[in-house]
Amino acid sequence: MTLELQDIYKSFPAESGGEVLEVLGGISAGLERGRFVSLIGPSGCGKTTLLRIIAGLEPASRGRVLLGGQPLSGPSRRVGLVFQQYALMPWRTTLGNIEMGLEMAGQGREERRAAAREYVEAFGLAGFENSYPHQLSGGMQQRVAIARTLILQPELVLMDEPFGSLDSQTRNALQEFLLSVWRQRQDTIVFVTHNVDEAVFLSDEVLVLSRRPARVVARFSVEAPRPRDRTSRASNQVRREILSVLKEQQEQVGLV
Amino acid sequence: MKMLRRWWLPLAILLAWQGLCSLEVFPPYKLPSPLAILAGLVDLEARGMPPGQRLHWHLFYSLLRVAIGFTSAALIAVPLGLLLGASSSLRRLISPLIELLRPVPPLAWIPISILWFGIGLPSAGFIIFLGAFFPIVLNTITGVTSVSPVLVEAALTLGASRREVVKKVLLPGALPNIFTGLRIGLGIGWMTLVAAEFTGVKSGYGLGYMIMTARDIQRPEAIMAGMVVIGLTGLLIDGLVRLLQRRLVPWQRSRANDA
Ligand SMILES: Nc1ncnc2c1ncn2[C@@H]1O[C@H](COP(=O)(O)OP(=O)(O)O)[C@@H](O)[C@H]1O
Ligand SMILES: [Mg+2]
Repeated sequence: MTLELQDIYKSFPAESGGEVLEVLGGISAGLERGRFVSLIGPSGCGKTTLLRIIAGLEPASRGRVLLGGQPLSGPSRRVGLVFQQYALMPWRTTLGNIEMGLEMAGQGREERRAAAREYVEAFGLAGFENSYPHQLSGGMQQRVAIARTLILQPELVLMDEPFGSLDSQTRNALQEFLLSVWRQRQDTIVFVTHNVDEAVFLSDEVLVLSRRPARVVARFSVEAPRPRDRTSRASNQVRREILSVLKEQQEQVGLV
Repeated sequence: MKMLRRWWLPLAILLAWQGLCSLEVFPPYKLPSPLAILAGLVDLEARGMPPGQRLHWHLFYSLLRVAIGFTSAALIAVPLGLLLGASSSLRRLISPLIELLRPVPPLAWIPISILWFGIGLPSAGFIIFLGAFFPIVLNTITGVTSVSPVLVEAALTLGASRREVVKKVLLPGALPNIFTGLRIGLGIGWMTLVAAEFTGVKSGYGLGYMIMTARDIQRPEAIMAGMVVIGLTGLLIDGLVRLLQRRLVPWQRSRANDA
Protein backbone atom coordinates (compact mmCIF):
# COMPACT_ATOMS: atom_id res chain seq x y z
CA MET A 1 0.00 0.00 0.00
CA THR A 2 1.33 3.41 -0.90
CA LEU A 3 -1.37 5.43 0.77
CA GLU A 4 -3.30 4.35 3.83
CA LEU A 5 -6.10 6.37 5.35
CA GLN A 6 -6.78 5.09 8.85
CA ASP A 7 -10.12 6.00 10.33
CA ILE A 8 -10.00 9.71 9.58
CA TYR A 9 -12.42 12.02 11.35
CA LYS A 10 -12.73 15.72 10.93
CA SER A 11 -15.05 18.22 12.49
CA PHE A 12 -14.94 21.99 12.35
CA PRO A 13 -15.56 23.99 15.52
CA ALA A 14 -18.97 25.60 15.86
CA GLU A 15 -19.33 29.07 14.46
CA SER A 16 -20.74 31.31 17.20
CA GLY A 17 -23.39 29.19 18.86
CA GLY A 18 -23.99 26.74 16.00
CA GLU A 19 -23.31 23.04 16.20
CA VAL A 20 -19.94 21.45 15.57
CA LEU A 21 -19.78 20.51 11.91
CA GLU A 22 -18.84 16.87 11.48
CA VAL A 23 -17.43 16.56 8.00
CA LEU A 24 -15.54 13.27 7.88
CA GLY A 25 -16.93 10.37 9.88
CA GLY A 26 -14.22 7.71 9.79
CA ILE A 27 -12.64 7.35 6.37
CA SER A 28 -10.51 4.27 5.85
CA ALA A 29 -9.01 3.24 2.56
CA GLY A 30 -5.83 1.84 1.10
CA LEU A 31 -4.35 2.73 -2.22
CA GLU A 32 -1.74 0.88 -4.23
CA ARG A 33 1.15 2.48 -6.04
CA GLY A 34 0.48 3.49 -9.62
CA ARG A 35 -3.29 3.39 -9.32
CA PHE A 36 -5.67 6.02 -10.53
CA VAL A 37 -8.42 6.33 -7.95
CA SER A 38 -11.37 8.69 -8.03
CA LEU A 39 -13.32 9.99 -5.05
CA ILE A 40 -16.88 10.85 -5.78
CA GLY A 41 -19.58 12.10 -3.47
CA PRO A 42 -22.29 14.69 -3.00
CA SER A 43 -21.08 18.27 -3.00
CA GLY A 44 -20.22 19.57 0.46
CA CYS A 45 -19.57 16.06 1.78
CA GLY A 46 -15.93 16.72 2.60
CA LYS A 47 -13.92 15.68 -0.46
CA THR A 48 -11.81 18.82 -0.45
CA THR A 49 -11.36 18.54 3.30
CA LEU A 50 -10.08 14.98 2.90
CA LEU A 51 -7.57 15.99 0.23
CA ARG A 52 -6.40 18.91 2.37
CA ILE A 53 -5.83 16.53 5.26
CA ILE A 54 -3.85 14.14 3.08
CA ALA A 55 -1.85 17.08 1.70
CA GLY A 56 -1.07 18.17 5.24
CA LEU A 57 -2.79 21.53 4.91
CA GLU A 58 -5.35 20.67 7.59
CA PRO A 59 -4.98 18.42 10.64
CA ALA A 60 -7.36 15.51 11.03
CA SER A 61 -9.42 15.47 14.24
CA ARG A 62 -8.63 11.79 14.54
CA GLY A 63 -6.95 9.10 12.49
CA ARG A 64 -3.77 8.86 10.48
CA VAL A 65 -2.50 9.21 6.96
CA LEU A 66 0.36 6.88 6.04
CA LEU A 67 2.43 7.28 2.90
CA GLY A 68 4.75 4.39 2.19
CA GLY A 69 4.18 3.26 5.77
CA GLN A 70 5.23 6.56 7.34
CA PRO A 71 2.72 8.92 8.94
CA LEU A 72 2.40 12.26 7.18
CA SER A 73 2.30 15.47 9.10
CA GLY A 74 2.29 18.81 7.36
CA PRO A 75 2.73 19.62 3.68
CA SER A 76 5.52 17.79 1.95
CA ARG A 77 6.96 17.48 -1.51
CA ARG A 78 6.07 13.78 -1.40
CA VAL A 79 2.42 14.72 -1.89
CA GLY A 80 1.36 17.00 -4.73
CA LEU A 81 -1.95 18.83 -4.89
CA VAL A 82 -3.65 20.22 -7.97
CA PHE A 83 -6.32 22.80 -7.13
CA GLN A 84 -9.58 23.36 -8.93
CA GLN A 85 -8.85 27.07 -9.37
CA TYR A 86 -5.30 26.35 -10.64
CA ALA A 87 -3.68 28.49 -7.91
CA LEU A 88 -0.88 29.68 -10.19
CA MET A 89 1.27 32.57 -9.05
CA PRO A 90 -0.01 35.51 -11.14
CA TRP A 91 3.43 37.14 -11.09
CA ARG A 92 5.19 34.12 -12.52
CA THR A 93 5.31 33.12 -16.14
CA THR A 94 4.54 29.60 -17.32
CA LEU A 95 8.18 28.61 -16.87
CA GLY A 96 8.40 30.39 -13.53
CA ASN A 97 5.35 28.61 -12.20
CA ILE A 98 6.46 25.19 -13.40
CA GLU A 99 9.91 25.52 -11.86
CA MET A 100 8.70 26.94 -8.55
CA GLY A 101 8.91 23.67 -6.60
CA LEU A 102 12.39 22.93 -7.94
CA GLU A 103 13.40 26.39 -6.82
CA MET A 104 12.22 25.66 -3.28
CA ALA A 105 14.14 22.40 -3.40
CA GLY A 106 17.29 24.41 -4.03
CA GLN A 107 17.94 23.26 -7.57
CA GLY A 108 20.18 25.50 -9.68
CA ARG A 109 18.69 27.95 -12.12
CA GLU A 110 19.96 26.37 -15.35
CA GLU A 111 18.99 22.90 -14.29
CA ARG A 112 15.44 23.74 -13.27
CA ARG A 113 14.90 25.89 -16.35
CA ALA A 114 15.89 22.95 -18.51
CA ALA A 115 13.57 20.62 -16.61
CA ALA A 116 10.70 23.12 -16.84
CA ARG A 117 11.24 23.46 -20.59
CA GLU A 118 10.81 19.74 -21.03
CA TYR A 119 7.45 19.95 -19.29
CA VAL A 120 6.47 22.95 -21.39
CA GLU A 121 7.07 20.84 -24.49
CA ALA A 122 5.37 17.72 -23.19
CA PHE A 123 2.35 19.64 -21.93
CA GLY A 124 1.71 21.48 -25.17
CA LEU A 125 2.64 24.86 -23.73
CA ALA A 126 5.39 25.72 -26.22
CA GLY A 127 5.13 29.34 -27.27
CA PHE A 128 3.60 30.32 -23.93
CA GLU A 129 6.73 29.90 -21.79
CA ASN A 130 6.82 33.57 -20.94
CA SER A 131 3.10 34.22 -20.67
CA TYR A 132 1.53 35.13 -17.36
CA PRO A 133 -1.37 32.97 -16.13
CA HIS A 134 -4.05 35.53 -16.98
CA GLN A 135 -2.90 35.39 -20.58
CA LEU A 136 -3.62 31.65 -20.76
CA SER A 137 -6.90 29.81 -21.25
CA GLY A 138 -8.31 27.81 -18.33
CA GLY A 139 -7.20 24.54 -19.90
CA MET A 140 -3.66 25.82 -20.33
CA GLN A 141 -3.55 27.18 -16.80
CA GLN A 142 -4.53 23.80 -15.45
CA ARG A 143 -1.85 22.12 -17.56
CA VAL A 144 0.71 24.51 -16.06
CA ALA A 145 -0.58 23.63 -12.59
CA ILE A 146 -0.35 19.89 -13.29
CA ALA A 147 3.15 20.29 -14.73
CA ARG A 148 4.21 22.28 -11.68
CA THR A 149 3.09 19.40 -9.47
CA LEU A 150 4.35 16.47 -11.56
CA ILE A 151 7.82 17.95 -12.14
CA LEU A 152 8.52 17.26 -8.45
CA GLN A 153 7.84 13.52 -8.97
CA PRO A 154 5.61 13.25 -5.90
CA GLU A 155 4.80 9.79 -4.57
CA LEU A 156 1.15 10.76 -4.46
CA VAL A 157 -0.75 13.21 -6.63
CA LEU A 158 -4.00 14.68 -5.33
CA MET A 159 -6.36 16.43 -7.71
CA ASP A 160 -9.36 18.39 -6.49
CA GLU A 161 -11.92 18.65 -9.29
CA PRO A 162 -9.14 19.90 -11.56
CA PHE A 163 -11.36 20.08 -14.63
CA GLY A 164 -14.46 21.26 -12.79
CA SER A 165 -14.45 24.79 -14.15
CA LEU A 166 -13.63 23.93 -17.76
CA ASP A 167 -16.09 23.65 -20.63
CA SER A 168 -16.91 20.09 -21.61
CA GLN A 169 -14.73 19.95 -24.73
CA THR A 170 -11.65 21.23 -22.95
CA ARG A 171 -12.52 18.93 -20.11
CA ASN A 172 -12.59 15.86 -22.36
CA ALA A 173 -9.34 16.87 -24.01
CA LEU A 174 -7.64 17.32 -20.63
CA GLN A 175 -8.93 13.96 -19.42
CA GLU A 176 -7.32 12.28 -22.43
CA PHE A 177 -4.17 14.30 -21.88
CA LEU A 178 -3.97 13.37 -18.21
CA LEU A 179 -4.36 9.71 -19.07
CA SER A 180 -1.60 9.86 -21.66
CA VAL A 181 0.74 11.47 -19.12
CA TRP A 182 -0.25 8.98 -16.47
CA ARG A 183 0.26 6.01 -18.82
CA GLN A 184 3.89 6.99 -19.24
CA ARG A 185 4.61 7.92 -15.62
CA GLN A 186 2.36 5.64 -13.59
CA ASP A 187 1.79 8.22 -10.86
CA THR A 188 -0.41 7.32 -7.93
CA ILE A 189 -3.40 9.63 -8.30
CA VAL A 190 -6.35 10.47 -6.08
CA PHE A 191 -8.79 12.38 -8.23
CA VAL A 192 -11.81 14.15 -6.73
CA THR A 193 -14.77 14.77 -8.96
CA HIS A 194 -18.52 14.90 -8.70
CA ASN A 195 -18.85 13.81 -12.28
CA VAL A 196 -19.54 10.07 -12.60
CA ASP A 197 -18.61 9.95 -16.30
CA GLU A 198 -15.26 11.52 -15.56
CA ALA A 199 -14.55 9.13 -12.68
CA VAL A 200 -15.41 6.08 -14.78
CA PHE A 201 -13.44 7.24 -17.80
CA LEU A 202 -10.27 7.95 -15.84
CA SER A 203 -10.01 5.58 -12.92
CA ASP A 204 -8.94 2.10 -11.97
CA GLU A 205 -11.12 2.42 -8.92
CA VAL A 206 -13.91 4.70 -7.76
CA LEU A 207 -14.62 5.34 -4.08
CA VAL A 208 -18.08 6.69 -3.32
CA LEU A 209 -18.45 8.87 -0.24
CA SER A 210 -21.63 9.35 1.74
CA ARG A 211 -23.11 12.66 2.73
CA ARG A 212 -21.72 14.45 5.79
CA PRO A 213 -20.22 13.06 7.94
CA ALA A 214 -18.59 11.28 5.02
CA ARG A 215 -17.59 7.64 4.99
CA VAL A 216 -16.67 5.35 2.12
CA VAL A 217 -19.94 3.66 1.21
CA ALA A 218 -18.82 1.77 -1.88
CA ARG A 219 -15.72 0.93 -3.84
CA PHE A 220 -15.84 0.01 -7.51
CA SER A 221 -13.17 -1.38 -9.81
CA VAL A 222 -13.46 -0.15 -13.35
CA GLU A 223 -12.35 -3.09 -15.46
CA ALA A 224 -12.95 -1.55 -18.86
CA PRO A 225 -9.75 -1.92 -20.94
CA ARG A 226 -7.69 1.16 -21.79
CA PRO A 227 -7.73 3.15 -23.97
CA ARG A 228 -11.35 3.47 -23.04
CA ASP A 229 -14.44 4.12 -25.00
CA ARG A 230 -16.66 6.44 -22.99
CA THR A 231 -19.76 4.58 -24.13
CA SER A 232 -18.59 0.96 -23.89
CA ARG A 233 -20.80 -1.56 -22.12
CA ALA A 234 -18.31 -2.11 -19.32
CA SER A 235 -18.22 1.63 -18.66
CA ASN A 236 -21.98 1.93 -18.76
CA GLN A 237 -22.33 -0.93 -16.32
CA VAL A 238 -20.07 0.65 -13.65
CA ARG A 239 -21.63 4.02 -14.25
CA ARG A 240 -25.08 2.59 -13.56
CA GLU A 241 -23.90 0.99 -10.33
CA ILE A 242 -22.24 4.13 -9.08
CA LEU A 243 -25.26 6.23 -9.93
CA SER A 244 -27.52 3.90 -8.01
CA VAL A 245 -25.33 4.17 -4.89
CA LEU A 246 -25.34 7.94 -5.20
CA LYS A 247 -29.11 7.90 -5.61
CA GLU A 248 -29.50 5.84 -2.45
CA GLN A 249 -27.54 8.51 -0.63
CA GLN A 250 -29.91 11.15 -1.92
CA GLU A 251 -32.99 9.17 -0.96
CA GLN A 252 -31.79 8.51 2.57
CA VAL A 253 -31.60 12.24 3.00
CA GLY A 254 -35.08 12.60 1.62
CA LEU A 255 -36.41 10.36 4.38
CA VAL A 256 -34.75 12.24 7.22
CA MET B 1 -1.67 66.71 -31.76
CA LYS B 2 -2.47 64.24 -28.99
CA MET B 3 -0.50 66.42 -26.58
CA LEU B 4 -2.60 69.39 -27.60
CA ARG B 5 -5.84 67.54 -26.97
CA ARG B 6 -4.73 66.57 -23.52
CA TRP B 7 -3.21 69.88 -22.44
CA TRP B 8 -5.41 72.44 -24.17
CA LEU B 9 -7.27 73.47 -21.05
CA PRO B 10 -4.19 74.32 -18.91
CA LEU B 11 -2.72 76.06 -21.96
CA ALA B 12 -5.85 78.12 -22.46
CA ILE B 13 -5.86 79.11 -18.80
CA LEU B 14 -2.21 80.15 -19.02
CA LEU B 15 -2.96 82.28 -22.08
CA ALA B 16 -5.98 83.91 -20.43
CA TRP B 17 -3.96 84.51 -17.28
CA GLN B 18 -1.18 86.14 -19.28
CA GLY B 19 -3.74 88.25 -21.15
CA LEU B 20 -5.46 89.45 -17.98
CA CYS B 21 -2.11 90.32 -16.41
CA SER B 22 -1.01 92.25 -19.51
CA LEU B 23 -4.26 94.26 -19.28
CA GLU B 24 -3.34 94.88 -15.62
CA VAL B 25 -6.57 93.41 -14.32
CA PHE B 26 -4.55 91.93 -11.41
CA PRO B 27 -1.90 94.00 -9.66
CA PRO B 28 1.48 92.35 -10.40
CA TYR B 29 2.55 92.45 -6.74
CA LYS B 30 -0.37 90.05 -5.99
CA LEU B 31 -0.53 87.86 -9.09
CA PRO B 32 2.45 87.90 -11.41
CA SER B 33 1.93 86.86 -15.02
CA PRO B 34 3.13 83.47 -16.31
CA LEU B 35 5.93 85.18 -18.22
CA ALA B 36 6.99 87.03 -15.08
CA ILE B 37 7.03 83.72 -13.21
CA LEU B 38 9.17 82.22 -15.94
CA ALA B 39 11.56 85.14 -15.61
CA GLY B 40 11.49 84.61 -11.83
CA LEU B 41 12.42 80.99 -12.39
CA VAL B 42 15.38 81.93 -14.54
CA ASP B 43 16.40 84.48 -11.93
CA LEU B 44 16.17 81.92 -9.10
CA GLU B 45 18.77 79.84 -10.87
CA ALA B 46 20.89 82.67 -12.26
CA ARG B 47 21.14 84.88 -9.18
CA GLY B 48 19.74 82.76 -6.38
CA MET B 49 17.35 83.41 -3.48
CA PRO B 50 18.74 84.84 -1.28
CA PRO B 51 21.34 86.00 -3.83
CA GLY B 52 24.13 83.49 -4.17
CA GLN B 53 21.99 80.48 -3.08
CA ARG B 54 20.88 79.09 -6.39
CA LEU B 55 17.81 77.09 -7.21
CA HIS B 56 19.48 73.76 -8.01
CA TRP B 57 21.06 73.65 -4.56
CA HIS B 58 17.71 74.32 -2.90
CA LEU B 59 16.24 71.53 -5.00
CA PHE B 60 19.15 69.25 -4.18
CA TYR B 61 18.78 69.68 -0.42
CA SER B 62 15.03 69.21 -0.55
CA LEU B 63 15.44 66.02 -2.55
CA LEU B 64 18.12 64.83 -0.16
CA ARG B 65 15.84 65.32 2.85
CA VAL B 66 13.02 63.49 1.11
CA ALA B 67 15.34 60.72 -0.01
CA ILE B 68 16.60 60.16 3.51
CA GLY B 69 13.20 60.33 5.20
CA PHE B 70 11.43 58.30 2.54
CA THR B 71 14.09 55.63 2.19
CA SER B 72 14.27 55.01 5.91
CA ALA B 73 10.46 54.90 6.06
CA ALA B 74 10.30 52.38 3.21
CA LEU B 75 13.09 50.24 4.68
CA ILE B 76 11.21 49.91 7.95
CA ALA B 77 7.60 50.04 6.75
CA VAL B 78 7.74 47.37 4.04
CA PRO B 79 9.26 44.58 6.18
CA LEU B 80 7.05 45.59 9.11
CA GLY B 81 3.99 45.51 6.85
CA LEU B 82 4.95 42.07 5.55
CA LEU B 83 5.36 40.80 9.09
CA LEU B 84 2.08 42.30 10.29
CA GLY B 85 0.29 41.09 7.18
CA ALA B 86 1.57 37.55 7.64
CA SER B 87 0.83 37.24 11.35
CA SER B 88 -2.66 38.07 12.50
CA SER B 89 -1.71 37.87 16.18
CA LEU B 90 1.08 40.38 15.71
CA ARG B 91 -1.32 42.52 13.72
CA ARG B 92 -3.81 42.53 16.58
CA LEU B 93 -1.03 43.60 18.92
CA ILE B 94 0.46 46.42 16.84
CA SER B 95 -2.54 47.71 14.87
CA PRO B 96 -4.06 49.79 17.70
CA LEU B 97 -0.73 51.56 18.10
CA ILE B 98 -0.63 52.39 14.39
CA GLU B 99 -4.25 53.49 14.39
CA LEU B 100 -3.53 55.80 17.31
CA LEU B 101 -0.47 57.45 15.76
CA ARG B 102 -1.68 57.62 12.17
CA PRO B 103 -4.27 60.42 12.52
CA VAL B 104 -1.63 62.81 13.92
CA PRO B 105 -0.68 64.93 10.88
CA PRO B 106 3.06 64.78 10.19
CA LEU B 107 3.23 68.57 10.50
CA ALA B 108 1.94 68.36 14.06
CA TRP B 109 5.17 66.55 14.84
CA ILE B 110 7.30 69.51 13.81
CA PRO B 111 7.56 71.19 17.23
CA ILE B 112 8.43 68.03 19.08
CA SER B 113 10.84 66.89 16.39
CA ILE B 114 12.65 70.23 16.54
CA LEU B 115 12.87 69.73 20.28
CA TRP B 116 14.29 66.24 19.80
CA PHE B 117 16.52 66.70 16.78
CA GLY B 118 17.08 70.44 16.59
CA ILE B 119 16.56 72.42 13.40
CA GLY B 120 18.03 70.87 10.30
CA LEU B 121 18.30 67.69 8.32
CA PRO B 122 17.47 65.16 11.08
CA SER B 123 14.21 66.82 12.12
CA ALA B 124 13.08 67.42 8.52
CA GLY B 125 14.01 63.81 7.73
CA PHE B 126 11.99 62.63 10.72
CA ILE B 127 8.87 64.54 9.62
CA ILE B 128 9.11 63.09 6.12
CA PHE B 129 9.69 59.67 7.62
CA LEU B 130 6.45 59.98 9.57
CA GLY B 131 4.51 61.21 6.55
CA ALA B 132 5.67 58.35 4.36
CA PHE B 133 5.73 55.59 6.96
CA PHE B 134 2.01 55.05 7.61
CA PRO B 135 0.74 54.83 4.04
CA ILE B 136 3.52 52.37 3.21
CA VAL B 137 2.91 50.15 6.23
CA LEU B 138 -0.87 50.13 5.83
CA ASN B 139 -0.81 49.44 2.10
CA THR B 140 1.72 46.65 2.57
CA ILE B 141 -0.52 45.02 5.18
CA THR B 142 -3.51 45.32 2.85
CA GLY B 143 -1.44 43.81 0.05
CA VAL B 144 -0.37 40.82 2.12
CA THR B 145 -3.81 40.10 3.53
CA SER B 146 -5.34 40.28 0.06
CA VAL B 147 -3.08 37.51 -1.26
CA SER B 148 -5.29 34.48 -1.80
CA PRO B 149 -4.67 31.81 0.87
CA VAL B 150 -4.84 29.21 -1.89
CA LEU B 151 -1.58 30.60 -3.30
CA VAL B 152 0.07 30.17 0.09
CA GLU B 153 -1.21 26.61 0.27
CA ALA B 154 -0.03 25.88 -3.25
CA ALA B 155 3.45 27.07 -2.29
CA LEU B 156 3.38 24.93 0.86
CA THR B 157 2.53 21.81 -1.14
CA LEU B 158 5.43 22.67 -3.46
CA GLY B 159 7.72 22.49 -0.44
CA ALA B 160 7.98 26.16 0.57
CA SER B 161 9.19 27.02 4.07
CA ARG B 162 7.54 29.84 6.00
CA ARG B 163 10.33 32.16 4.94
CA GLU B 164 9.87 31.20 1.32
CA VAL B 165 6.14 31.79 1.61
CA VAL B 166 6.83 35.35 2.73
CA LYS B 167 9.50 35.92 0.09
CA LYS B 168 7.95 34.15 -2.88
CA VAL B 169 4.22 34.51 -2.31
CA LEU B 170 3.32 37.29 0.11
CA LEU B 171 5.91 39.80 -1.09
CA PRO B 172 5.23 39.51 -4.83
CA GLY B 173 1.51 39.22 -4.14
CA ALA B 174 1.58 42.43 -2.12
CA LEU B 175 3.84 44.28 -4.55
CA PRO B 176 1.08 46.19 -6.38
CA ASN B 177 -0.21 47.51 -3.05
CA ILE B 178 3.29 48.17 -1.79
CA PHE B 179 3.85 50.39 -4.81
CA THR B 180 0.61 52.21 -4.15
CA GLY B 181 1.86 52.80 -0.61
CA LEU B 182 5.25 53.98 -1.82
CA ARG B 183 3.68 56.44 -4.23
CA ILE B 184 1.32 57.84 -1.62
CA GLY B 185 4.15 57.92 0.92
CA LEU B 186 6.46 59.73 -1.44
CA GLY B 187 3.72 62.23 -2.32
CA ILE B 188 2.99 62.96 1.32
CA GLY B 189 6.72 63.06 2.06
CA TRP B 190 7.23 65.67 -0.64
CA MET B 191 4.34 67.82 0.53
CA THR B 192 5.43 67.48 4.14
CA LEU B 193 8.97 68.47 3.26
CA VAL B 194 8.13 71.88 1.92
CA ALA B 195 6.00 72.67 4.94
CA ALA B 196 8.73 71.37 7.24
CA GLU B 197 11.20 73.66 5.51
CA PHE B 198 8.94 76.68 6.02
CA THR B 199 9.50 76.39 9.70
CA GLY B 200 12.30 73.92 10.23
CA VAL B 201 15.10 75.48 8.17
CA LYS B 202 16.29 78.85 9.32
CA SER B 203 19.20 79.21 6.95
CA GLY B 204 20.92 77.29 4.20
CA TYR B 205 19.04 75.45 1.49
CA GLY B 206 15.63 73.99 0.71
CA LEU B 207 12.72 74.85 -1.57
CA GLY B 208 10.47 75.70 1.38
CA TYR B 209 13.13 77.95 2.84
CA MET B 210 13.65 79.55 -0.57
CA ILE B 211 9.96 80.39 -0.88
CA MET B 212 9.81 81.83 2.61
CA THR B 213 12.81 84.02 1.81
CA ALA B 214 11.07 85.24 -1.36
CA ARG B 215 8.01 86.13 0.69
CA ASP B 216 10.10 88.01 3.24
CA ILE B 217 11.47 90.25 0.50
CA GLN B 218 8.12 90.52 -1.35
CA ARG B 219 8.94 88.70 -4.55
CA PRO B 220 5.67 87.04 -5.68
CA GLU B 221 7.09 85.86 -9.02
CA ALA B 222 9.87 84.04 -7.14
CA ILE B 223 7.35 82.49 -4.75
CA MET B 224 5.27 81.18 -7.61
CA ALA B 225 8.32 80.01 -9.54
CA GLY B 226 9.26 78.03 -6.43
CA MET B 227 5.76 76.53 -6.36
CA VAL B 228 6.11 75.54 -10.01
CA VAL B 229 9.41 73.79 -9.26
CA ILE B 230 7.84 71.94 -6.33
CA GLY B 231 4.87 70.81 -8.42
CA LEU B 232 6.92 69.70 -11.40
CA THR B 233 9.42 67.86 -9.21
CA GLY B 234 6.60 66.04 -7.44
CA LEU B 235 5.15 65.04 -10.79
CA LEU B 236 8.56 63.84 -11.97
CA ILE B 237 9.18 61.76 -8.86
CA ASP B 238 5.79 60.11 -9.15
CA GLY B 239 6.48 59.37 -12.81
CA LEU B 240 9.76 57.71 -11.88
CA VAL B 241 8.10 55.50 -9.28
CA ARG B 242 5.44 54.57 -11.81
CA LEU B 243 8.15 53.61 -14.26
CA LEU B 244 9.80 51.46 -11.60
CA GLN B 245 6.44 49.91 -10.79
CA ARG B 246 5.89 48.96 -14.41
CA ARG B 247 9.26 47.24 -14.51
CA LEU B 248 8.84 45.41 -11.21
CA VAL B 249 5.16 44.49 -11.55
CA PRO B 250 5.04 43.42 -15.18
CA TRP B 251 2.16 40.99 -14.66
CA GLN B 252 -0.03 43.90 -13.70
CA ARG B 253 0.94 46.00 -16.67
CA SER B 254 0.09 43.29 -19.16
CA ARG B 255 -3.27 42.85 -17.48
CA ALA B 256 -3.92 46.56 -17.99
CA ASN B 257 -2.81 46.22 -21.61
CA ASP B 258 -5.19 43.36 -22.19
CA ALA B 259 -8.09 45.32 -20.87
N1 LIG C 1 -12.17 25.62 7.41
C1 LIG C 1 -13.47 25.29 7.54
N2 LIG C 1 -14.19 25.73 8.60
C2 LIG C 1 -15.49 25.40 8.73
N3 LIG C 1 -16.17 24.64 7.87
C3 LIG C 1 -15.52 24.15 6.80
C4 LIG C 1 -14.14 24.46 6.57
N4 LIG C 1 -13.76 23.86 5.42
C5 LIG C 1 -14.84 23.22 4.95
N5 LIG C 1 -15.90 23.38 5.78
C6 LIG C 1 -17.23 22.78 5.60
O1 LIG C 1 -17.06 21.40 5.47
C7 LIG C 1 -17.98 20.87 4.54
C8 LIG C 1 -17.26 20.08 3.50
O2 LIG C 1 -16.54 20.94 2.67
P1 LIG C 1 -15.66 20.43 1.44
O3 LIG C 1 -14.64 19.49 1.95
O4 LIG C 1 -15.17 21.63 0.73
O5 LIG C 1 -16.73 19.66 0.57
P2 LIG C 1 -16.64 19.12 -0.93
O6 LIG C 1 -15.26 19.37 -1.42
O7 LIG C 1 -16.96 17.68 -0.85
O8 LIG C 1 -17.66 19.85 -1.72
C9 LIG C 1 -18.75 22.05 3.98
O9 LIG C 1 -20.00 22.12 4.63
C10 LIG C 1 -17.90 23.23 4.32
O10 LIG C 1 -18.70 24.36 4.53
MG1 LIG D 1 -14.56 20.55 -3.02
